[in-house]
Amino acid sequence: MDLLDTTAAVMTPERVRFRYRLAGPGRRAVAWLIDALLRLIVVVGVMTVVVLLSIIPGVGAVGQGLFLVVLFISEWVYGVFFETVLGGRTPGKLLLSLRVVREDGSPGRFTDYLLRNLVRAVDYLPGFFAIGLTSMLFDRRLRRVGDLVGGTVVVVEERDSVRDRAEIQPPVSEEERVALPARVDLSREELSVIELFLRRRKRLSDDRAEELAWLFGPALSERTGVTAPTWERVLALAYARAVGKDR
Amino acid sequence: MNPNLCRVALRPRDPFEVFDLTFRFVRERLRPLLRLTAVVLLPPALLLTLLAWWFDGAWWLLFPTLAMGPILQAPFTLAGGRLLFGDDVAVGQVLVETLKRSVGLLGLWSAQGLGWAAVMAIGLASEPIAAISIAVAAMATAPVAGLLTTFVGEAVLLERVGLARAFRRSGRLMAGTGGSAIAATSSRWFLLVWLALASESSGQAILDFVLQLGVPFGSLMNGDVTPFLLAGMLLAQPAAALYRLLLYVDARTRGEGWDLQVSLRALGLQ
Amino acid sequence: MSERDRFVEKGRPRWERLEDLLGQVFLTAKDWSELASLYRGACADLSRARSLSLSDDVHRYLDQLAGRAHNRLYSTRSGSGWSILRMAFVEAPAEIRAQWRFFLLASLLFYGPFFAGAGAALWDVDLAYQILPESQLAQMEAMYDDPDMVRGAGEDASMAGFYIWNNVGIALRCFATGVLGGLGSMFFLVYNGLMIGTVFGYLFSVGNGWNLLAFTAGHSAWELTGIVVSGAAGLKLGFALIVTHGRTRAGSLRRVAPSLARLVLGAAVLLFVAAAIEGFWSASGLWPSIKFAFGVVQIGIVGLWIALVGGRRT
Repeated sequence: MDLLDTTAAVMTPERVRFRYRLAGPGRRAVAWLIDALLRLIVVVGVMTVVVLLSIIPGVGAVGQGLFLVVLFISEWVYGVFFETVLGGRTPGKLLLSLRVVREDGSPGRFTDYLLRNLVRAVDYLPGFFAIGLTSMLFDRRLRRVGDLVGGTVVVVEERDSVRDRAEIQPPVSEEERVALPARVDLSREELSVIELFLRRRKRLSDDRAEELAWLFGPALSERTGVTAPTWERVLALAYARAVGKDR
Repeated sequence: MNPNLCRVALRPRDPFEVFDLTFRFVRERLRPLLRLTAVVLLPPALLLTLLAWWFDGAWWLLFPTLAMGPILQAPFTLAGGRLLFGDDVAVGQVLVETLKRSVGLLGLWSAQGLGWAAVMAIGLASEPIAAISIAVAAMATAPVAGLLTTFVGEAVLLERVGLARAFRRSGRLMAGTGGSAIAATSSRWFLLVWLALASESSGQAILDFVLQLGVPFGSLMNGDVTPFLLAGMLLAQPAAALYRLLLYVDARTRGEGWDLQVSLRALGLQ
Repeated sequence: MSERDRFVEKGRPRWERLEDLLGQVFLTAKDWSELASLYRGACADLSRARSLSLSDDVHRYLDQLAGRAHNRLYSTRSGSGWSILRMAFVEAPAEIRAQWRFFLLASLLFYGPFFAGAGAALWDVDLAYQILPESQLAQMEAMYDDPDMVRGAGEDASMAGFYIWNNVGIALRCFATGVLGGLGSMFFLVYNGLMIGTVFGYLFSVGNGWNLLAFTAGHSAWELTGIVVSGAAGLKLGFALIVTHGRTRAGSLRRVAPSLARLVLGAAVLLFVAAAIEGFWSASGLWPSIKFAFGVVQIGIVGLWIALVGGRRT
């Protein structure tokens, strides 16, 4: 069974399969706002220069033309330019660790970026990205119309970590070891849940840990014959014996 | 399929991811949510449309809509909680259950309703702009107020605790998520404004541009509160409720190992 | 130690080295080859983690690591400047020929209303008022009252900027709205054809027509063709969504995407040239006869570009 999540699996040409974390409207709206702010700063900057220069006769109108060209660039060229140059990222996407890739996970190409950025004109419609938002709601990979035409998805590239180890604290003592049944059989699922519990133990309060262990401890104790003063210890000892970690 | 297992992948997420996950959640549970939306939101939508037409898009219509918000969210919080574990819920069952469980919230809702009514009264007595400024100020300070109150509804509706304990629960959960929770609370208002404006522009575009009917309800441009705007505000309620529900799940996963609770209980019940 | 912890312990040094490399902005040739081999290692670890069904956090970590390394490795070059220019100037006309059906359809949708509007306005001026508001027509009439509408050099540049921002923007929107089943593009084509045609017809019937014709002679070949090409691209986009030839809609879009890109770039080229001519040439005080001659040359250039450049496309 696939759990509901914001990821999508891709298969690279080398037949390696991995999952990408997809970016939806939340992160992308923020990236878009940052890009919009940058564009606004440049446009306002150019406008200021044009207004300042317009005191020189004859230059004012040239400045006006230049300003309109800058406006055109900010509206139509900004996205495709940066995505092409920065490998699928605009400055806003870079700041939020977003990247545009093709649906199969391979890097985007100029034509993909071109189409997805042009069709943004439709995603805007009729206002406030209503079409784009609707499209993202109905698409399993959170794509807007521009992504559908360009064949792209936006993914999150963020560092993750594998830190915590599954530890039994304190270690299994000699008496406990002797008292343990000779064989404890745990299913794969049970092992992985208890392992997760042990790994997260440090970040839970003692009361909470015992409360959680109580949910499974009694049933486990009854089935395997493992006993201990606390339910938490029951889980830990059963796990230790099952994986041979008690020595 | 084990009915005790949560069907949404549980892991710590940032508020953006939870927002995106809300989209996926709505997409995968579209049918039951649409049914519930139709039952819960259609009556207020019709009522508000009638009022907007009768009172010519008066500004104060925003306030009853805002006051209704928490009440309209309650069934979605409850239904969302069920839909984490299953594909479907019965609308009638959800509504009955909501009625039973929301007794504890009546005091809070009345207080909020009275608050909005007072703000509206200020506007009616002086200038509309006064009431709207206060409303905007309330939205701006929401992150601070939200530190204590964000998950009160979830605590009462899903954990069935009393109001006083619900406040303490909410405060503790928010403390566990740190700064991200503040971003999350303010983004709910952002969602409300976004959906209201998107709905307004879509409605006007369809009416005026596609059907060539002009602007019979007035438009926000001219300071009128249109049924489209109100519809957007109503639609933002289920969205906000589900977003907050998933934030709540995330806060519990991080703070108290809710994912462990779900899987350990599933093992215990086998 | 659990299976998972052993696995992590063993892999960690390599993974951390890979993280380091990914964090660096500039990589030497040696770094690149190391990156590539570490990426392959991470992929192997990932499939091993999957077959051992280790815990979710290991999968997640390796997924994101492999994903980031993959993107870094393969996303260095995504089309050089030359290849883009080649697409716009050389491949675009060949694509227009290859898509002659859509080009023809777009032409009909544009020039049909154009001549209808012009004919209606010539036949009876009152009809023009039905199509366009009187104030706008009066404004047009005043604008082309003076046969030589000379502008200052600065003003020329300002107008060129305006034409780029406005006209190219409209054409790009005309293409983009093709995604609404082609309806948006059809609307843009018909609407613009009708407007422009009506203005022409109206000005001829009130007597300023030759001034307008002299003004537009230089750039019209570029501009009108540009509009039609962007409309053709939009129609093709809409068509690919509706008639999928048994593919999924996404697959159907994927198939036409390169051709759409070429058409749009071609339309952009046509409209940029039009903006330049309209800005710097069309309003100059030269004799109308020179402007007409220039216009004929432009028609020839556009025609030859579309007819000959780029060889055959299959």
